[in-house]
Amino acid sequence: MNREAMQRLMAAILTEQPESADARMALDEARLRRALSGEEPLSKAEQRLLWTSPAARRHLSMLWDSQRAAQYLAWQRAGITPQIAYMAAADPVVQPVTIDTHPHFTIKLYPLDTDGKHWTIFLKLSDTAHQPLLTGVRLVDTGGLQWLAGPVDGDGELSADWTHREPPLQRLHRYELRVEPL
Amino acid sequence: MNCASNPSKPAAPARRDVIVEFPVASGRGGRMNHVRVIAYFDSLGRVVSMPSSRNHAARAKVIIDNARYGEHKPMVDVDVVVHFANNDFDGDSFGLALALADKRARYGVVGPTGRVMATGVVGPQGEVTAVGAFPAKVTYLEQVLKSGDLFVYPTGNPATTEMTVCEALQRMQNKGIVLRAVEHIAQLSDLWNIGVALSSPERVTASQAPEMTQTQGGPAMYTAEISRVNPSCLLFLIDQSGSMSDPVGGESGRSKADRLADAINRLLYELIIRCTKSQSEGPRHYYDVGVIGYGSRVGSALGGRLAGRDLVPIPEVADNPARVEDRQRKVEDGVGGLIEENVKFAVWFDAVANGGTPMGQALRQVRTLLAPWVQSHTSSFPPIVINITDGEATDDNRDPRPAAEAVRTLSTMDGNVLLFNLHLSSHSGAPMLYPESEAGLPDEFARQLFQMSSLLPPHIREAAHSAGYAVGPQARGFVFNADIVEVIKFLDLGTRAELR
Repeated sequence: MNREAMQRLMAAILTEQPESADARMALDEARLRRALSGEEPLSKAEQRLLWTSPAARRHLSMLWDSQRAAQYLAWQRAGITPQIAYMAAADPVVQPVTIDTHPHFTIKLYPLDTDGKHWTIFLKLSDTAHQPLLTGVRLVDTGGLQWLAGPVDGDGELSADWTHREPPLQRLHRYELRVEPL
Repeated sequence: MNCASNPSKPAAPARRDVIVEFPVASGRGGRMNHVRVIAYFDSLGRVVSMPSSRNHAARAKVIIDNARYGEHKPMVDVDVVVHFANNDFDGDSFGLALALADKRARYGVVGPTGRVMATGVVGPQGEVTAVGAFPAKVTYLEQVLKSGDLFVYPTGNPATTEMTVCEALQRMQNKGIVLRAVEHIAQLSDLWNIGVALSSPERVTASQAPEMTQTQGGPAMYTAEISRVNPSCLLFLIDQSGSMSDPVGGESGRSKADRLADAINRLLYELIIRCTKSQSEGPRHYYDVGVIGYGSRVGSALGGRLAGRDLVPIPEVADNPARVEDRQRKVEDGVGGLIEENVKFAVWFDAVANGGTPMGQALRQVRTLLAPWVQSHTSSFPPIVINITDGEATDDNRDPRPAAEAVRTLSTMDGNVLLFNLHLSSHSGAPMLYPESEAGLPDEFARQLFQMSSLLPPHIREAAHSAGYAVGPQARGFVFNADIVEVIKFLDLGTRAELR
């Protein structure tokens, strides 16, 4: 069975799943909001409860959508645009790259080796962008590739190792970056 | 679109990559983890990027902030990327490994280049405090570490754990594993390139406990009998800097280093004789003895089979001189003249005169050696450390007093470690013997050595008095501007003890 068929089967099973009253009670709206903001991730037990309750999953999905929309609005009101204007040099050298052309998002790329195959990507949000944060964030390029995703920490920072085959500086030569609510 | 390009640089990227391992307790055993820190000198934002360990990121950033306490720009702002080999650990005991890796990555690796292991909690100003599950970690590390590996741990741990841990540490040391007990990250500054540092933390030691002395109404100190059950420890700290190649004050010919080596070798021989109650039995284990040299390097100065050994039981010293030389001495011929006679002279320690005077580093090494020793010999007469130098310290901002204080705060139940200092002069002049105050000391260096010196305990005061010295109740184990005769007398007095 291929992956798509497996996902369809799983979706069908989950849709038919009987409701669990325990899960609905344990995972109330306040708890799910804290989980979505990254303030308090769901524990393994709570994740199991989520698996047993279609209603809790629908609730989470709805909250997620609404928080993402609220985050877009909050940034819009604060004048924070998602696009980051930056283009890498045509023949980039393997050294740390700082992208600080956006007033609210700073991105740093750290090479982990000398030939530029492995990198760490670092994102820092300004206090303005960080303070009203309701959700996690993701860093994507206009080619559709996700660079980073997850909740930022208390300093408004998030980082991850680069896991794609094409080096990030090559992507930067072809695409722009955006920061979006997750 | 705003197009910005990175300034092109033909050189390789300026970064340094350092790994420090740390043990993770697991049940009654343990497992190994490591932290890898990469420092980027082209990127100064004080960023601590934790790409693979979000759950440890907040703590790691605090630890690095703590470890960088007191540092100045630009080094304090160097960005680092931190990776852990595994994220399946909890607690804060990885802090010392992370702090050490951060320092070595930013400043450069000096000292041991082999496997480095550290466990310890790093506090807000870089102080290092005890970790949990220390016995399990030590048990595990005893199995996996090899000779030449370095293990760094909090001084506070052996002080609060059972005797078996101290014994395990002793076994590790005997195996050639280098142990460093610290109470502040700065005490490890010999492991990174201190020359690059712009400043060092103001607080060097966390413990400022006053030296224990005999107190009215309290238990008498420095009265423990030295026996095979409760042996003591003698540690000689020998300046091996370049200036030791000069002759001793007022004399010509042989250098201070040569004369001092002879004095120490003779003392070791006399100690062996003192510890020998019968020819058939051989010397008894009354002492663990060490000779630490400091000059172009800091470490054990013993030679032959004992090379590299720090503290050696006196019977082993007796069995393993580096060599036995034939020497000649003049003796009376019985009819008013002198004749030359051949004598055997055992040599454990050779003269060296090279490099600076890293007295602070040497004292830290003494502390590292003695911390587990005092914990495993709680009923013993405390160790006596005799520091013999001819010049000012060239490390620790020329002030070895904090490092000396850290040595003197170690204690057994019978009292604190005794630190005696002897200044060996290149010039002829009257020595200052066992002073009670700084009055009359010629300069800041002499005052430093005076302040570093312990009060003479009663039995040594009595011995000094019997030998004709005017020693008061506040006399310190300190001689300034000594010639070689005073060195020998000082060594004899400083090592007096009641042997059972």
